[in-house]
Amino acid sequence: MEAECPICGSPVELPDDVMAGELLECPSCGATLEVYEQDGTFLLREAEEIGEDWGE
Amino acid sequence: MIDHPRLEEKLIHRALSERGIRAGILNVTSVPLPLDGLRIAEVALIRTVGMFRGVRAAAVLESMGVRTINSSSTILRCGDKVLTYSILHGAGLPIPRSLLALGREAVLRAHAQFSGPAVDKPPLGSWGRMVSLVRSSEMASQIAEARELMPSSVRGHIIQEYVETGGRDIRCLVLGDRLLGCMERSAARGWKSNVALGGKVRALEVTDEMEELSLRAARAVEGEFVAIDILSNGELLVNEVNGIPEFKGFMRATGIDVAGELASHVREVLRS
Ligand SMILES: Nc1ncnc2c1ncn2[C@@H]1O[C@H](COP(=O)(O)OP(=O)(O)OP(=O)(O)O)[C@@H](O)[C@H]1O
Ligand SMILES: [Mg+2]
Ligand SMILES: [Zn+2]
Repeated sequence: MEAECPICGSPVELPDDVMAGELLECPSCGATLEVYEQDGTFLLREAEEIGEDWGE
Repeated sequence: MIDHPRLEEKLIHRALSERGIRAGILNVTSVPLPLDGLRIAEVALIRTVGMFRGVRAAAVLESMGVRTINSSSTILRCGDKVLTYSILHGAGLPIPRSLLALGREAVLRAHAQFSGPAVDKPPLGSWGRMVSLVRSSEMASQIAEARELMPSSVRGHIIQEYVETGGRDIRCLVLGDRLLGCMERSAARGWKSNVALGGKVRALEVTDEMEELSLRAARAVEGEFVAIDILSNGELLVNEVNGIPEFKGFMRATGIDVAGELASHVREVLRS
């Protein structure tokens, strides 16, 4: 499965077990992207900014 | 409860399904939660990357009578290191010698109390971000100045002794009242051993001292599934408790099926 990078237009490979909300890095431009689902297909959008409170 | 699912969340979901537990995934960034709602599940695993999202989602679920792992108060106590250290110290657990400095002048006066370099870290944060080794008062005031431009959640400072660990720390994972295991993380370069910064991991044999300390630390924050980070310079000191622990490095190092253990624990909770 592939989706298009919204920043540079390159195809990005999605993992088999892809989930909405997952963060991926575009191998072409390095942008951090977020997977979302629309009408049963997985698409990519620019990820929200990393929060100060992110972590474990 | 998720926001940005990682490998851990996928493994947990799979392990729950394998045990016949009906588990839904709820992304809190796309689904609103009713603040006056009826119970939507028996148990909820809080697995957000955003700490405040975790605290808030857990609180709402708790109000419905959902058993949360971890609870909102545990996630908050672990997420803010000032709260964590205060609770640990109050419970008689050893922590690095630390001062809380809430403004530029306090930062400089805190540093003056250490003869050598000291560590400056914000109250919140993970993956080693904004954790600095401060070697001069110039550097201390630069950090204080820069931090004043940051969001208020990271504006305070914990100034603490630099523990001579050789760039290593010990991570212990606690589930329920049991220590699952321990691993050592060593810094790839520099002095911070975070896996997110490329730190190397290996399994460690559990000692009685490590076990006692991590179980006491978990109990102090009322943690059900927590990771205790310990610094050692001979003496063991609790550096932090993680309330939504990441564990892929731990699984790799120790071979322990953490997701499976957690799913089995949930099954026990559901039976009781
Ligand atoms: N006082 C200290 N003395 C020596 N090393 C320290 C000290 N405090 C932190 N470190 C090192 O820096 C790393 C990052 O610090 P700390 O764990 O406090 O931050 P964190 O961002 O919460 O990390 P984590 O991802 O483990 O939650 C630690 O894993 C440890 O290797
Ligand atoms: Mg942390
Ligand atoms: Zn791209």
